[in-house]
Amino acid sequence: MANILVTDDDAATRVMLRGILKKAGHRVATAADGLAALRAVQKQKFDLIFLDIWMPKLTGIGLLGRLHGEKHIPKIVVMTSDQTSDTVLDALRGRVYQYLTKPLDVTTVLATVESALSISPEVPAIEVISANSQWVELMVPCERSVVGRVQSFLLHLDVGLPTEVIEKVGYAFRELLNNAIEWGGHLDPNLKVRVSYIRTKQMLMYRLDDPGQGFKLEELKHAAINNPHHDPMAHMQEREAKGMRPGGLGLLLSQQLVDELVYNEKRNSVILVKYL
Amino acid sequence: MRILYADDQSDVRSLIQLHLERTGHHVVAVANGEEALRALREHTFDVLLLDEQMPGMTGSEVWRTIRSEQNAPSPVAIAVTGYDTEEEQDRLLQLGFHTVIGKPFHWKSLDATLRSLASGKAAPPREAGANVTVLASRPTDALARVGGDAELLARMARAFLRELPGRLRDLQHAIRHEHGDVLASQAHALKGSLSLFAADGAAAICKELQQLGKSNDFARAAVSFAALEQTIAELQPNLRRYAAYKRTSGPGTPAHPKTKPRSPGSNRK
Repeated sequence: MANILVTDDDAATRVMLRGILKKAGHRVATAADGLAALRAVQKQKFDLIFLDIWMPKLTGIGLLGRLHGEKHIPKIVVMTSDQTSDTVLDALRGRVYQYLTKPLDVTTVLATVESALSISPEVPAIEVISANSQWVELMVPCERSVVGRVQSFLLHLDVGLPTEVIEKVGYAFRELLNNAIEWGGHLDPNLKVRVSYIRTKQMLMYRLDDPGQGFKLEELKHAAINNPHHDPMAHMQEREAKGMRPGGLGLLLSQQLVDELVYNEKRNSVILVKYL
Repeated sequence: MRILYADDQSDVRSLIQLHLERTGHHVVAVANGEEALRALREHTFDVLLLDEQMPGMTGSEVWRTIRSEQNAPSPVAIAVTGYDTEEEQDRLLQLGFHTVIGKPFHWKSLDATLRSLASGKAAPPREAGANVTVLASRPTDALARVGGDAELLARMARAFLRELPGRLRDLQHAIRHEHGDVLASQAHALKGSLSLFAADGAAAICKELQQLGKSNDFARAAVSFAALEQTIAELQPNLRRYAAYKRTSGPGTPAHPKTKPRSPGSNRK
């Protein structure tokens, strides 16, 4: 059971979140504006805050700034229907745990709470090296939940791009970040992957540098990228024999989903590019 | 499940393949009908996902060939089509396709169909007329969002209806007194609440009002506001129905335990 504060000026959203969270066994307080939320945080220790951005008196971003000096800062989940890169960047700088798009639903809410509360306090935070709308650079710990979180921010930066482009690049990026964290960082949260997102007029680029030793493509028998042409299922048999989950298409598909996928010599750094 | 997926659009194919793999299926993806037939002769599959608009053999031609060739029980076939009209659906269903999924892919409807196939239950029926209108609030959607908890939805609807007259008044006031910022932020807030109740049409008008507020276009805002009032008036009976829900069984019993989330936009473009 956790102590959760729900901050939103919309009564229906407060009722919804309170209902969902209480049913899941949490203690819930609500605030209808940023100032009320700030007072609540100063008075009581919360594990998690669901924070709306656009609120009267003090906005969500304003509240993030005011929390900075506090001794105990709860995990913060920002929720907004607002698709501006400024909000995302402010949230990133404000060390927000995750960025959710409204309208919310019970599955998303409970999954977010579970992931936010289960992450060990030992896991280092995501470090922000650069956060402007053209260049975002992060150092992220090699830990599973970080993939969804990083993506929740970066996908919302792609304002004004067709959904199809966002989906394709998103899939490829997720595949590669998963690989970097799992194979490069061996899921050790003390190791970090450097994630860079660069947006120019004509392209969208991601670069991932993992802390591993790299790999040789020929060694990946369990990956579809090495299947002989006449046997598109070869990697599946290999995976079944090794007791691996279905999959192994990441590299092959990522290659098809973006315009360029380039590895360095060791293969512990990769760049993916989508032309706009 | 083992899935054979035939589609000539390589990027769509990749995306769907990756998605299906991520949701735990084994997938072989091929680019045309001939390759699909070859794969079918060499391997066994539980489900076929066949694009109808492929050059050479169409999905339904592949399906017809398989049915005439195979002695063993055929896998379940799902048709994928970019021309998702009712006539086209009927035609494909009559050919023996289990269901028809529109393109661009609606993830949720694809997942729901596969889940129901995997659990051996019948696929959820296609929602009639789902591509006709997005203006009316779709009850199953709002209810699905709160996990089928009708009592919680009732409390949300009551909270919303309590605030609604004041919020509409504030909007009107902002337009009349030409306060662009206020109009934008009020419209933004109302949009958020409306989308909770899956009232997409009304939410879309709020989005418009938000932009008109930002550009200080109050003449057009007044017109949009009238449309918003009209749309919300049409929504009211639905909202009142949500709000009127009363729990009939004892405390602790989940309301509507059998209500399943239904994907509303399965054939919406």
